[in-house]
Amino acid sequence: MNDERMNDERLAALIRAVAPRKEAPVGLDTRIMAQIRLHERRRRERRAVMAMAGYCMAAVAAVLVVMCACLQSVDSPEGMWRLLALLAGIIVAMVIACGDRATEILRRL
Amino acid sequence: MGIPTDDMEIVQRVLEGDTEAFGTLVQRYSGKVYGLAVGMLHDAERAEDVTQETFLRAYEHLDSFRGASAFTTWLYRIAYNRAAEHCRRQRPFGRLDERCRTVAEEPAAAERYDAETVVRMRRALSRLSSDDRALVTLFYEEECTVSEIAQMMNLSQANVKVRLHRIRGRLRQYMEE
Repeated sequence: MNDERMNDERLAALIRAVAPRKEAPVGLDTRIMAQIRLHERRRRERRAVMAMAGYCMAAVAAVLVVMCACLQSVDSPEGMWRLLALLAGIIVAMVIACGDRATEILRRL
Repeated sequence: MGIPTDDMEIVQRVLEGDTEAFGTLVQRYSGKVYGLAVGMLHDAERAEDVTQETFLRAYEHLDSFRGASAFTTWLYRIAYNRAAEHCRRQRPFGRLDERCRTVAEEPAAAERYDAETVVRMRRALSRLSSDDRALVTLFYEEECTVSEIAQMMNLSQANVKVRLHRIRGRLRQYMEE
């Protein structure tokens, strides 16, 4: 063999014969799928957090707009107290709404 | 719904939210991806890492698979890139690691060839660069076509043929040394 140059077919056969075995180790598939599931769960969590953050920011912005508009229209201390009570009520309602939303998102995960 | 047999059908199901369907693709191709990684890296542990990274990346970017090529070609391309990155950032391989060597020294080679020929071929293969090892693995061991290899390695078909020709010459030369 050393004296004559190997032809392509013999070379190919020899390469195949010395090739390392190509079987994946036992449990590798399970580990891969566990990683995939973890990745999917994290992706859903990230989406849920983003959705919740967006919802809360929109809610806070809406409250601030209402608050500014109301404060500009107040012309007496009594009116001011009534307005503050009203705004406090709105904020509590928003917190409850956000809380419900958060619970719903967490339940979907 | 039964288990889909077509790769594209499985991909579609995964994209529609059926994460578990991806398991069929993992079962079907993990051995091939692992084989390519072992061929390039000669290190069983790193080959396992590359296999895991390949499937995770494939899952993350599954929406970019349009079915223009076979799913295996697309997957091999990811595996090749991951293995090449491992080769670049870690030590170059020299010898087969213990786990790989054990499986490589199965009777198949010993029955047909004398011990010296087998050792010479292993040495010759270990002297090739990781890219050339990938070419040898894909062409001879995985029996991919030149066109598939060209797609996976981002080369022209002519370039693949020329490189295979040079590799054959180099292997013959190394074996005679």
